[in-house]
Amino acid sequence: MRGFLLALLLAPCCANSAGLEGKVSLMVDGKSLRAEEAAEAVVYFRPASPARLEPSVSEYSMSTERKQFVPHILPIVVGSVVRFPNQDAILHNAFSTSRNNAFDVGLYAQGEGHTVTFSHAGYVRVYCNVHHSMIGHILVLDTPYFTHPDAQGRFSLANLPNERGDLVVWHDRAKPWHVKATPGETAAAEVVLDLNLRRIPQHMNKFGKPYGTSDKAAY
Amino acid sequence: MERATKQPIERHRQAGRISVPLAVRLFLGMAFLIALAVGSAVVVTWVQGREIARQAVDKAVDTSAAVQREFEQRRLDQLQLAVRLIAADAGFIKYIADASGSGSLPGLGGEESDDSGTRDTRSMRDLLLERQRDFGMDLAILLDSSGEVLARTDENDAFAASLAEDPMVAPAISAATPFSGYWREGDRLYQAAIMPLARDQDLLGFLLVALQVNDALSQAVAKVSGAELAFWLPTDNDAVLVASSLDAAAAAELRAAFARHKAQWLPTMQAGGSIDHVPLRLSAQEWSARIVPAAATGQGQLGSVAIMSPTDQITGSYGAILNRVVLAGLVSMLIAILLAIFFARRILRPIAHMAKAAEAAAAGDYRTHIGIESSDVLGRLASAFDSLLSDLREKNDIEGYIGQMARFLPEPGNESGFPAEKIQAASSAPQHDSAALLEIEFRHLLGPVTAQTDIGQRALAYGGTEELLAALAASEGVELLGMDGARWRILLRGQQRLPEAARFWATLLRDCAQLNIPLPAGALVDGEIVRTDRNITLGTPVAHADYLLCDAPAGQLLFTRSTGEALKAELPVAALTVLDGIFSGRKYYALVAAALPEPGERSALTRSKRTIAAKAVATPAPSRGNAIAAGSVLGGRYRIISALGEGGMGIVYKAHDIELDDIVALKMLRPGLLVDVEQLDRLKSEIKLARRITHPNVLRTFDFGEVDGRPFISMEYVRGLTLRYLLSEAKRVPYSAALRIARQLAAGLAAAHEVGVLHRDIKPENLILEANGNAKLMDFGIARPLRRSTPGHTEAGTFVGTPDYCSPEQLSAGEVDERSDIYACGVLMSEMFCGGKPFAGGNTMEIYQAQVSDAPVRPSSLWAGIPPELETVILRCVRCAPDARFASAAELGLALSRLRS
Repeated sequence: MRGFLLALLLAPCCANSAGLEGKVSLMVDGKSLRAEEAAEAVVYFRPASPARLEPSVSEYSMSTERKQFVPHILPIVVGSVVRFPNQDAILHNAFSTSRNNAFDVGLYAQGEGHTVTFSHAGYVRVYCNVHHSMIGHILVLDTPYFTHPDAQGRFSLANLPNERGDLVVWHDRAKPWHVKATPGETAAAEVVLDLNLRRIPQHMNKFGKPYGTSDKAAY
Repeated sequence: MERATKQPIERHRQAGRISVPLAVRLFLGMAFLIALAVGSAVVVTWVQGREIARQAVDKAVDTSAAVQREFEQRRLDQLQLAVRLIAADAGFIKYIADASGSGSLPGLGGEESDDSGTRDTRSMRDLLLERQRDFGMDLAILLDSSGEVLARTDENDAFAASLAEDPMVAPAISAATPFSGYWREGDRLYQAAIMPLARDQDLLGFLLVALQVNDALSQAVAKVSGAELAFWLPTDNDAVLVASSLDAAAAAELRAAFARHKAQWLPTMQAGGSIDHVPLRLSAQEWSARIVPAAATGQGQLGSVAIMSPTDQITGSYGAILNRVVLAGLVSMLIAILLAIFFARRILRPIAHMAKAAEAAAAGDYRTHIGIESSDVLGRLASAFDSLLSDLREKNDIEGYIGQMARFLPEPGNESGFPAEKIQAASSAPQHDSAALLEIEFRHLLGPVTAQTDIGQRALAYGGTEELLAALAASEGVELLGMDGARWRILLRGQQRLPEAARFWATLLRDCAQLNIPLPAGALVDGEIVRTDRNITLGTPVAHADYLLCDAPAGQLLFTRSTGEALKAELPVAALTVLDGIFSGRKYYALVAAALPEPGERSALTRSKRTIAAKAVATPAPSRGNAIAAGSVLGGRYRIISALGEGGMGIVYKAHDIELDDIVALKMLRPGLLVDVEQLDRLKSEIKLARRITHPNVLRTFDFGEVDGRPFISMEYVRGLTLRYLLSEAKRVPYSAALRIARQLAAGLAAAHEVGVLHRDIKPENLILEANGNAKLMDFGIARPLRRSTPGHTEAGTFVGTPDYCSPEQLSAGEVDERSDIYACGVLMSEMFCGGKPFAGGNTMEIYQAQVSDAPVRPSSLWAGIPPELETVILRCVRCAPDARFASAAELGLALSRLRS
């Protein structure tokens, strides 16, 4: 079952600087989620020839709170620094084995944690070695034009270069919505993301007990 | 008689079915039962054995099937482990994830590819192959999350194919859970396991690994389970043998067998059903196969597996058991049948013996004796049989014995009173001697015969006279010859013949006077006479006597001169006188009445009982003719046929009862017998008692009557001999015959006692034996009733009966009862069996003395061969004290019946 995509372009074009806007709504199993759920998604536009990027001056932060990485999905510009503070009382760890962006900040208790600089663009999956269910996603983008949808699921990207590029709406649970768009010309997108990326239930072994094996390899 | 008895037997045999001998039938019956028992045991064992064998085969197949299932399960487990292991490898997952492009962000890097993302299937395949080899799988397939094939190890190029519809893959995809089992791809059968590949619980795709079901697997299973395996995959209208543990030849046979039974098996296999107890013959062995679906019931498309268990061993061992059972059965049947034959014969041997004895008896031979001593049915039968045989023996013996004696019985109608032979034997040669001839004439009998003359009366008188003379002659021991008219001739011999003749004359005159018979005339002549063998008397005394008699007046006895002279010498002188002859007037000597000597003590009235039985023959004193002529009718009812004999009370005649048209015996009482009314009354009461007794061993008395002044008794007419006659011919009677007689005597006596009558005169003269051996007791002539009407009316000092046979109490005139009769029986039995009496004596006193003081003569001393039991019986009968004897004739009879000849 493939995800299906509905695109409706809204007409309003801003004259001065091109922008792209749209509305993102999420669906699961054929049912729509609330609009505010869409705020998790990341919308970015990557022009065909990207401009020179300046990494962000401030550092991003992906903290471990209540055994979760917060924010769940973190878009950053390539070259940025991300700090991984630990806001839980327990020890946590953050690492990744993603291509080009592998890192391991080690195990530390509550505190500021360490920082990692991401020099390559790509998709980084962040895990905690201790807690197997903790996943964080860092999108290291080589474009500064990205945003989260608002509480109503609308997004608006302004000051986009007026050239053709890729407009992508990314959610970790769905296949990425990817369309070639030209700021200013492309109508507003109505994006419906079908969160159909299947989750395997934690299946038990033949005795009805959880498996003892770790699904993480010691890299 | 023999023929008569044989015929019914033969007729019976022929009338029936085929006569199978009893022994054979018994044996067949027993053999049949034995065969039935043994046969049913064998059959039951056979049936049970086959059932057990079948169950054993089933069990073997069950076991093999279980082993096979276990084996495949193990293999599946192995697969599952392998796939899990592979899938659990994070590196593997990551590699695959990266290769399938899910690690990159679209748009980045300026790629112009479409949104499906790059999939590095080559890398995927390479890793897959590595893993497959590592784990020894036959096949590994990588699928994406929708079931499309990403890479497979058996194909180089990743053809776009989808296994989403595959019956094993589809449930795995829909449930995202692992699956394992049989998996069919085309014409190949695998055991496969499919596992979802997950990265952080996100479904990446699926991994399927499989091991092929092939001969190696089948052989491995067969080695462990002991049964051969064969895997079939059904196609449209056939099934392909994909794997088996059999060798090539057997596999070919199996295919051939399948081809033969395709129509039966294929539908079931296609439907996924089971077939059980399929008999097969492969490699010259018997097999029992079970065909079950490989995967699960109902899933025929995944193939069927045939589990084949060899049955030869099991059935072989059971067959051996059954063979042994059958053998044992046959042997035991044989032994049992032999035993059956043996027992049948043993049981039937006595019966066969009895049958043989019965046949011999039917043929007339009674000498066999069975002699089985046992208390069961056979013993009873044998002892009854023995009794019968001994009975027949006795009857035979007595008939033979009496038959012999009965040669002397006169033919019916020829009963002239004495056997002719005896007379012939007595006088064979002419006798020539000196004798005195005494001729007597009763003139009153010679009166004129007119039409009014009562011939019967005259004949009666004649008879009476003759009787008188006969009795007198008998008592004096002289010979009486009948002559014509009313003359009789007495022949006297010996030295004292003349005085004897005189005494005779005197006695005769006295008797005649007493009986009111007119006196006879007599003549006595002495001289030489000749007697021829035909009783012709010759000599001068005959002529002299003749004309002397003519001259003799009634009541006078004349002599010739010489005779008178001789007589004068003997008698007192005054005894003779001289008389004139009435005819010629000449002078003769005569006997003076007053000078007559004393008449003999023995008179006609009280005579010694040296009598002949009433109807017996062979009297020593021949009497000529009948006192009553044959053919005369008495009283208009009885027609005299012949004289049977002489008894103590009178002559007995055979007569025809015209009224009843029956033959009876008439005992005419002697004229002078009853002198007074008292005697007549006594006789009548005797007869009344005797009439009451009805028993085959007692001579029946019918009636009492009086005709022409003479009383008579009518009795049953029986032809036979008296025991006295038998004893006179031979000293003793043979044992079996005598036993029979004794028993009958006891029976008759018991009958009499029962009626209440005592015999009081049991002796051999009173026991008559018919030609068929039946004995009859008779002459209850002096019987007395047991209970007297006037008690105490005993005639003291007198007894009646023969002293030899009288009991002590009888001789001493004491109280007499049945036991006196039993005593007499004892004496009779002693005489009959042994030939001698227990107590000897010439007169009453001597006998009585011997009875009370001496021991009786033991029968064994008279006859050595006497059985001891019989001796005991006889001795008990003749005990002095009545209480010591048998209490009744019935008891005696019982004791006798226990004796066997």
